[in-house]
Amino acid sequence: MGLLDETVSVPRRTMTIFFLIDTSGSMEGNKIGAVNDAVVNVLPMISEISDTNPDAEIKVAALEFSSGTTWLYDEPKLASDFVWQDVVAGGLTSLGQACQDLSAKLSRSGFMKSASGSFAPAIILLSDGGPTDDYQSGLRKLKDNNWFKAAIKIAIAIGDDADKDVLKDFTGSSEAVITVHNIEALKQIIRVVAVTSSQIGSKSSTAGDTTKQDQVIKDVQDATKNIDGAEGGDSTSANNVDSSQYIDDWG
Amino acid sequence: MTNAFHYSCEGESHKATGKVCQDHSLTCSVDGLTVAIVCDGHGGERYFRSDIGSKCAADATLEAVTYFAEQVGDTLFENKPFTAVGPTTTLKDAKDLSAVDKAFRQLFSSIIYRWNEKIKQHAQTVAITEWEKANVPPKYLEEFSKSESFEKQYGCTLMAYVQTPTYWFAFHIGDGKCISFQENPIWKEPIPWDDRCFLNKTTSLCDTSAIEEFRYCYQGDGHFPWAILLGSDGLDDSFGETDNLANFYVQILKMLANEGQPATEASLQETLPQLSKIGSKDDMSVACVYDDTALHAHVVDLIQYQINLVTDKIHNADSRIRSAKKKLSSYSKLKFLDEKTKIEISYAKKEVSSSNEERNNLLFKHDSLMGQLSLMLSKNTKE
Amino acid sequence: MELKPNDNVTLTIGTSAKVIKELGRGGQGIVYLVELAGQQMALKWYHNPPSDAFYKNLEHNVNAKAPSDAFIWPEYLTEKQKGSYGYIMRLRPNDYFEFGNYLLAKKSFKSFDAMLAAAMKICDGFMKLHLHGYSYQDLNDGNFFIRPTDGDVLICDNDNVMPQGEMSGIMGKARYMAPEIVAGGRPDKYSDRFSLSVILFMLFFANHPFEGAKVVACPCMTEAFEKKFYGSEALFIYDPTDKSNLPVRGVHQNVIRRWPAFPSLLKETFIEEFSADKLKNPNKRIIEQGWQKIITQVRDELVVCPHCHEETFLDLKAGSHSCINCGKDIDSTKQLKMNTRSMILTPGTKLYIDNDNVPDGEVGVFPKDNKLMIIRNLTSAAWHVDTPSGKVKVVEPNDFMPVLNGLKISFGSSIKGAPGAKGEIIA
Repeated sequence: MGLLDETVSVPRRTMTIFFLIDTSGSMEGNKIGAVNDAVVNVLPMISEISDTNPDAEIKVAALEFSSGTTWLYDEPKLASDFVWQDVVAGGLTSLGQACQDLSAKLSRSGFMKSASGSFAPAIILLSDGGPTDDYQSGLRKLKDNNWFKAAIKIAIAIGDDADKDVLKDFTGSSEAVITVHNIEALKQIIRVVAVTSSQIGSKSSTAGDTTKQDQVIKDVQDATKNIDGAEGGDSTSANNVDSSQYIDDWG
Repeated sequence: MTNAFHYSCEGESHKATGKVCQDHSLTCSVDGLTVAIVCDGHGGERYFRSDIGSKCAADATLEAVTYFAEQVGDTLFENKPFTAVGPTTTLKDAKDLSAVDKAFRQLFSSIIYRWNEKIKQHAQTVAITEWEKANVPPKYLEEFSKSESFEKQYGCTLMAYVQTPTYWFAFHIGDGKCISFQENPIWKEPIPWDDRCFLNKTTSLCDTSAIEEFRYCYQGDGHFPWAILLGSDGLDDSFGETDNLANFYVQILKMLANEGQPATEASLQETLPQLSKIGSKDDMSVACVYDDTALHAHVVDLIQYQINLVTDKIHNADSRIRSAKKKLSSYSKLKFLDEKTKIEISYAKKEVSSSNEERNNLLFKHDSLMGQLSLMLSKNTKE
Repeated sequence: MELKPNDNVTLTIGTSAKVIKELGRGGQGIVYLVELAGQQMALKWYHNPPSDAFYKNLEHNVNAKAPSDAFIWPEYLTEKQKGSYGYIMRLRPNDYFEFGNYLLAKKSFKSFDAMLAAAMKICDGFMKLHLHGYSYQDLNDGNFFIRPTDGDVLICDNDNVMPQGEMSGIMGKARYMAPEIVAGGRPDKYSDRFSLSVILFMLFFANHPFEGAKVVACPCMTEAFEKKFYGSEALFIYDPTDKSNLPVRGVHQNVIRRWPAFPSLLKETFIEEFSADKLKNPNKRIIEQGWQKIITQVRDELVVCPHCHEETFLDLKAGSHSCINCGKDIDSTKQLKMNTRSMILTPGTKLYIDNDNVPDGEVGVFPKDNKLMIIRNLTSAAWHVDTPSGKVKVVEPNDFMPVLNGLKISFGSSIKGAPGAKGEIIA
């Protein structure tokens, strides 16, 4: 009897990539079409990364949110097994509910079953507008979740009406929010973000100084420079005031 | 009789980059005092002397607990029931500290102090080596040169188990797992976990408030585990669920009972490197303390536990097959199949075939275990 | 014998109190919630009745008044009954927490301001205690309850307070006792002063002044070691010449992190108070008013950083003007000078002229020009200001005045603890 006989299982580690897709009414038409097209095309790429990666296998889970929320499947599926079903747009933008659902699944009893043998997940949020529900309490709950804290988080803001502050709040930094202004850019960015997150997310990291989140952001930002109609990050400003005869009076 | 053994081996990923094994384990059983220690040096480039750090930590701990056991052990733990204490942050009030808690705090402070002194001595006597100059990023070499306390470069985790004829205690800072085997439940993790150890993050002796991050447990009422195994995270990361790790440990205990310690140690020396290759790629360490009388008496219970586990899994596979088949039969009644349904059908078919395959594997395991059980039972009746 | 809910205990004044429930217990006795004449109060009931001499002392304390309102003082004494006795005191509000919690960082001060207020109040308590002729006998971290938001302090367990020179027979914890008491001497106000220095050190640095490398070198603390490290061989962790007891990384993190943040004035006082000279010569130890002066000067150096808006100490003695949080340089040229004191002015900084822990002034900026600082009058009476050109301006309560060079302020009667105080602005 060997120690590693048939009774012992040594499972392959898992990295899960989550797509959170805004399917509200405003996404109707070209935008949702582009999302469907992009995801269908990126799945084989993710599958290839999974197959050639000795460290981990990559699984995919997708949640669409509009007036309600729906997981495309009730458990994450291997990228090679994941058959994409086109999502349809219509309704409001329940981001808060989406956060609650995601938080529930980011647990050992949810989608993160082989806990100690897993890598931090990657979460990609796509939205073109602002939340119509109480997203703050949903997000607060999500932020308390250890898996969410460790996850690679990227948001893709589709168009100028997207609420970038909310997306910044979700991802934790403005550099992790990429804004796209046209359909081609949307498709390309989805591909870049999904591929980069999968590559970096599924590697065994050494406890170095650059987090996986930062590495992904850097690579995505670099790629964004070459894509027409995409921009990453943002900036801020401040101001000042002037003087009086109050001083004279006290002289 | 209480015996102990340990083994550490270099991780597959370390072999690839020319790094040495950064784990260090030790066991020792002298004059009724048995000690098992596992230390795991951090792998990042910043922690380039963590192999020395883990050895220093193991040595410092052995010195400190030996003195501690001699001086205060018997009186401190007399008649105490099993008690587990999490990292200090879980204590509600300063008033909650008992004499045992204060004594442990003193012990841990002393271990940290001794570790600091040992690594300082090493840092001050061993200059940056040629290998280090060539392989460590300059900013970390600079950090080392400027440092006064050197804790980062030598950073590691620490897990220890101490047993005497009248009591036992165990403590832990960082990741890795400690699993004990006893009457009920058959296996458990006696030392509380620290949620700060998550994925590849861990608490460590090199943390600024290391004293607050120790977790511990103790028992002085005459009950002892049949066996206890300390493993570094290279081991538990290879198995995913802790259930799988416990199962691997059961294998080790069965081998100890059936084939004896030398054969088991030899097997571990062969197996652990293989495990690193197919699993975590990380350094692997295991230290074990066991009572061979208790083990012989309970080997049958261990096999039964494995059988129960496999039986449960078979039932799960069965119910998955049933519900997938149910779905398929309901779909077959439909006249028109849309895209979504077609996909559901293909998933359900995949489920049936993969669950069947799993079921067959499990049946194979079940048979093997039943064989082992009947062999054991007939041995017992012969004796 | 222990009490149960609904038990009645008779008091020496004739009435009785009814036990409602147990609130907590310690080494000496149990504290119960009781009702007396319609009011809820606390009753401390001893496990083992201490001596008659103790009872007499308690009686004396009950009849005398508390030295100040910071003390939760014995107010009523019970008759000796049910095999023991006890005393009644007012309830402690539940937003005050035992000092020990601050040491373990289970609770922390909201601000340095609150921390300094607590230090000031404790000094004041000791001072008043000694003024009334008492001394502590059993000092430990259970005596002090502190409110983290503002540093207000309540001093409890005053049943062990005795006239100076007498012994209650209750020994305090070695950690707080002066070396000469650890060796068996009689507690008095000089040994109290040692304890005060220890308590203040622990308040600021959350670490005992003698607990460093020497104390953790040994894996177990025994009574013999305690007597050595806190008594005969006590060595201050930051002793300038002997570095063998320095704080240990990973264990004494509180003091390692905080020591650099505080002004030299404070640090040098501690080095002095814990030097071998003062340990051996009790009558050389700093008196309470001395500590209050130091705390006042330290508070004068506590400002709000104009860059990051966090509290920071400046260290004029060492010539340091950088913020401990953001590292940026702070302009410390604008000051309010009073006698030997120099209060540094930055927007947001509070000014404490006397020792009552209530800010007397606050620095702000002029509404239309945030480069001009102003000082707002937070007292309840007017200040009078002489300008360089000879004018006299009045600053009513809540009104403000500018921070301009040469303005001389007369605080008049507006500051209770410092009547007739005067100051000048240097800018």
